[in-house]
Amino acid sequence: MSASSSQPYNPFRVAQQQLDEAARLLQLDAAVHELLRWPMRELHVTLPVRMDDGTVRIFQGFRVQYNDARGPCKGGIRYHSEETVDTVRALAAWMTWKTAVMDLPLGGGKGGIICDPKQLSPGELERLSRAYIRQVGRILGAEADVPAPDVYTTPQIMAWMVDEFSYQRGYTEFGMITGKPLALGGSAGRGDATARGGMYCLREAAKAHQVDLRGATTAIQGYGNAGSFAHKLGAELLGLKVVAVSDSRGGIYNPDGLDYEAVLAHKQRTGSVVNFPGAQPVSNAELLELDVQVLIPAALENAIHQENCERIKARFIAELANGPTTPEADAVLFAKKAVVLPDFLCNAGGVTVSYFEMVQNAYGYYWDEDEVHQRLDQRMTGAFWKVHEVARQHGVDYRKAAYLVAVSRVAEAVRLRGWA
Amino acid sequence: MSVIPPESSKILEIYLLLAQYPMLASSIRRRMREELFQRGIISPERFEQEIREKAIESQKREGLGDEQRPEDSERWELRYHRIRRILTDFYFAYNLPIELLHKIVDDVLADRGGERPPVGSEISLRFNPELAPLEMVLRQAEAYESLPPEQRAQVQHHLEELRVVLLKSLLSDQLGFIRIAKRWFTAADFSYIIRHRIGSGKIGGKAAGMLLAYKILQATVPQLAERITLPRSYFIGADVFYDFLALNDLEYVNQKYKSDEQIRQDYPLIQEKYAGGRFPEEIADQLRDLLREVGNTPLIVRSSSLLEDNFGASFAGKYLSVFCPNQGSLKENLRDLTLAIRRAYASIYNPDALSYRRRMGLIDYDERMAILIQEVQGQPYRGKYFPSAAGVAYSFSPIVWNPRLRREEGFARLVVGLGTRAVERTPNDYPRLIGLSHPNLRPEVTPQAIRQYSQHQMDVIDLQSNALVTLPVQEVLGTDFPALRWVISVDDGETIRPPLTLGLSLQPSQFVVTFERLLQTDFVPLLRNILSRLAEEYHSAVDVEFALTIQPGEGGKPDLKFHLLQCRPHHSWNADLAVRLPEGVRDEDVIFVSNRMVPLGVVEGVEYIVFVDPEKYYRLPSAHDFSETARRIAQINRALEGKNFVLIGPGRWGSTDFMQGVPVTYADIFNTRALIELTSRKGGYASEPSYGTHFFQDLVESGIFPLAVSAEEEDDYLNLAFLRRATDQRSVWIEENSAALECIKVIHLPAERPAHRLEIRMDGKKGMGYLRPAE
Repeated sequence: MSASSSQPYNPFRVAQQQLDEAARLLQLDAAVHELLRWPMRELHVTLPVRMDDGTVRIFQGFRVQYNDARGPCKGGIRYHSEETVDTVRALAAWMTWKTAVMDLPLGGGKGGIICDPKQLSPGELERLSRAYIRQVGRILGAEADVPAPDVYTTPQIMAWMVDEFSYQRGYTEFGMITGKPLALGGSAGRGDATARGGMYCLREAAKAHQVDLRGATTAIQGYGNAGSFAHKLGAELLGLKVVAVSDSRGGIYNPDGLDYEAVLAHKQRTGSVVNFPGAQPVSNAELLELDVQVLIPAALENAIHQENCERIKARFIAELANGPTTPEADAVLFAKKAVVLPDFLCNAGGVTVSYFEMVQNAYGYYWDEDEVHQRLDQRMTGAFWKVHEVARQHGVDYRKAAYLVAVSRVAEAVRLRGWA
Repeated sequence: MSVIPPESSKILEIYLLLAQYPMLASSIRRRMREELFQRGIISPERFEQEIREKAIESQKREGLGDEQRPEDSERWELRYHRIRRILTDFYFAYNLPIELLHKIVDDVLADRGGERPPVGSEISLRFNPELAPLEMVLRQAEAYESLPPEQRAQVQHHLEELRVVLLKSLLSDQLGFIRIAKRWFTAADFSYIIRHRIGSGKIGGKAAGMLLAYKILQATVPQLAERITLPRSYFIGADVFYDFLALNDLEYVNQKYKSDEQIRQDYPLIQEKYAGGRFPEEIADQLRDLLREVGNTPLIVRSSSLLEDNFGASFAGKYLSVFCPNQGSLKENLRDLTLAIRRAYASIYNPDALSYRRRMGLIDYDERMAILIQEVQGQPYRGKYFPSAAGVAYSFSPIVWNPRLRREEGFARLVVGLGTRAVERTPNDYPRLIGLSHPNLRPEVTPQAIRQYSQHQMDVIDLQSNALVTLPVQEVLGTDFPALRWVISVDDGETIRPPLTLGLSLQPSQFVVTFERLLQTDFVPLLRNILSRLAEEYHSAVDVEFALTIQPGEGGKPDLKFHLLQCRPHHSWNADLAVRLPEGVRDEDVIFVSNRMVPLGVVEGVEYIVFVDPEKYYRLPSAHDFSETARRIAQINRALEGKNFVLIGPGRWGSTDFMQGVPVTYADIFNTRALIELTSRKGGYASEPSYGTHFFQDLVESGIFPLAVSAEEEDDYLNLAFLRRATDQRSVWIEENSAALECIKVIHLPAERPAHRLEIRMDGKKGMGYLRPAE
């Protein structure tokens, strides 16, 4: 998937190359393949926003509906000062495969506004968010396209958006967006959904490989939402012994295990996990190479790469971060028989609970946390075994298998609809 | 043995009688002199002349100062004052009946110091204020000030002279200070200072700065006058420092001309010697009185040296401030208080302070330490004592993270608890940064970032353990904290918002210090008003330390009290706080020029430039190479630890999107002195710099300057030819090779230009990095 070295890196081209690879393995019909290489629809909008000082500033935004063959588009809205439509296209494609691999009745989409939210006051941010919905609202809706939080967008922003949309329609439509605050149609169990889904997936992978993970030494890179909940739930659900964790300041290691509550309290008090009493320091790079059974990259892109992949000792790698392993490293790890649970399967707990949020909004009936957990477990378990089966059949790693599952599902829907 | 004069018993009687009125004795003696003058026993002029003669004789007798080695003005003044007292008693005893003295005492007691104008309060000034005793000058000033306006106009020139003399004697002889201060100080202020002064001598720069700022604010913003207060303050005169040295045989400790190494080596021993020193008995008595007066209110002992905030130097953080929780017995509290003073005294030999003086050309000055003792502003809460909020504010923002912020409207760092955490840099803990033009704009957006970059710890006085402690905010504050609503927001896991209710469901673990509600009150306009008034009167940017008391007031609004703790002007006197750009730098020596959002500051003696070549970076073949660039930068950051280096590279340092810049985290770059971003609207590049906003607060707390050089900004400049031509010394630090490493160059500046270093000067508008000979 390496981009040609003579041109600057283009994320959309990389996404197309990933599809091309899967299409080749699937010997996909040429017309379907060509259709899937491009977004179905894009809306480019211009947003006038009244600033606090009375002046008006004009912002540009997008919404890309990559593919809705399987159902309404699903994907976040990013606020980013250097947003490009190619980035949004690539991410929308990726969402299409992610919802498909999870077998959710959804397509893929993504949106964005070119803005630096750090330069906006809360009032301006609200007016910008409402302006976006005023323009893009015409193609959104619970049955059409359902956005969610993403880079620099928050539950509060989702709340403003659902309010603006409902105002346009004349009635409240909670299901048009997910990631809303709990008090405004949000779903229980969203907080730890990504990590929880990843742990269910890891549990099934261990079963598939006949490994008992109780007491398995574990290292977690990243201690944001996903990483810290992986620490908690890994211990709680799977009995993992987490011996190392890290954040952007560095890492800590204690071969006797690290207590979740104590580390979290330390991080909340000091802003970082480093200097946690009784643990020895490790760098983020060293953490990856520790002699552990489970490695959970939950922070950086391209953390596992050509240079260090030979030294990775973990048998299971559960990707909670997006894109933590480079293609070159994938090949090496596969040859080493390491089990890599690819990001768009392993971290799909978040989008799955987003889907649950839509379902609950549609029902107007809300589940308790246990019910959310139970249904998430079902979904993750089902998705894993399907990927596992395809990986066996084709003799490929889980990442390629997940692509094969996803692309064939979307292709099937496209065919049934008679698009190609 | 000297001859005892026949009237000595009467002199003794007068002395003993007046000893019973320690505070009123000065007024009584003034009245005694008035009687002597009125009855023609001696003229005021003759009297003053005799004092001078006797003073000079006594100098000779004591061998302290002569024409070749004159005593300094304060010692002379003390001598003059004492002889004046003796001569008053002497003339009275010889010439007037003791009954008259009793009557004078009764009169003075009746009006407690009296409003009666002294003799000669008529228009003309009949003595030389420069030579006259302080009290005489003060009385005369009081008399002039009490004149009706027309008469007062006639003596305005005298009054100004008297005020200048009083300023010089009590506050500062720095001309810049006097020029401004003489407009604001009145006799009542000098009288206040004298009443609160312990020992003689000036009260030092910090105390002077605080009082002047307070006077200006009281006069120029009368509508805010009652909301702006000064803490109850006491001043230990600078002469006490000499007495302390003399009493403890410390006069001969002379550190300042020793080598840096020697100074550092000796300092612990000096601290120990000072810590064991005794105070003159009368000073100890007065400190005891002070403690009785303040009760168990916590105190802070602050250095207020003569050089500090004064002769063009700020001395920020060079001398010591010590908290005295003051919760023990009187004896214990006195012990702690005097120890604190002794420690502040010893800090005059702090190696950092001495090297700073050398750098500022102040080493030859006979530095003396006055002390400012203040009640700590705050309230008791659950066994702790601290202010609702405290901080430091600047009339011109030294930093800016957003082009919308108007720097001339100022900037503040605000914390809950004692202001130490706002004044000092606190890595891993963050005061709220407030751009006063847009108080709602902050460098963080997401709830996670807001929580991370907030204040987690607070400094408080623990009343039980009688100590200054640092505790987690969530441990100290509860829902019953009176200022809670204005200090914290609530993190409900999804949003961070000011609390809607203060109900029982609120958990301290949800508290995030944001001051969100406070920033919606009139606090920001108040602070802006204060800063702009002071800057206007000082003709210079200023910084102000303050504490706030926030109490629930009427209609849901807070009742705000602003406690002024310190004020320092930047430009007119404090040369080191003003930055000037160099002139006449040769073109080939300029490395870069930046014109947008430039901070205030100087980075000196930079030995290395670590340069990430944008052309090469944006042509890296795979995603992994971008991440590797970040890892390699981290490796170089570690390797160059302790060296002086800056980073120059493409786009937004710290962006998670590697196409926008090298995706480093703060932990990868924390040793650098400056972070320079190269932007361009050309394809591939990031067009907008981030100014380090991905970890802006970390940069602020570590003193790392973010700068941007734009290809499109007409006056911006990057000496790409120099950076490209320079020899790459990377292999000295990293042996391996890879595509990512190919775009990183480590330039050793002295190797390119022998004996040169990079200096970056930033004046708030423009920044320039240029090569200059190493010092």
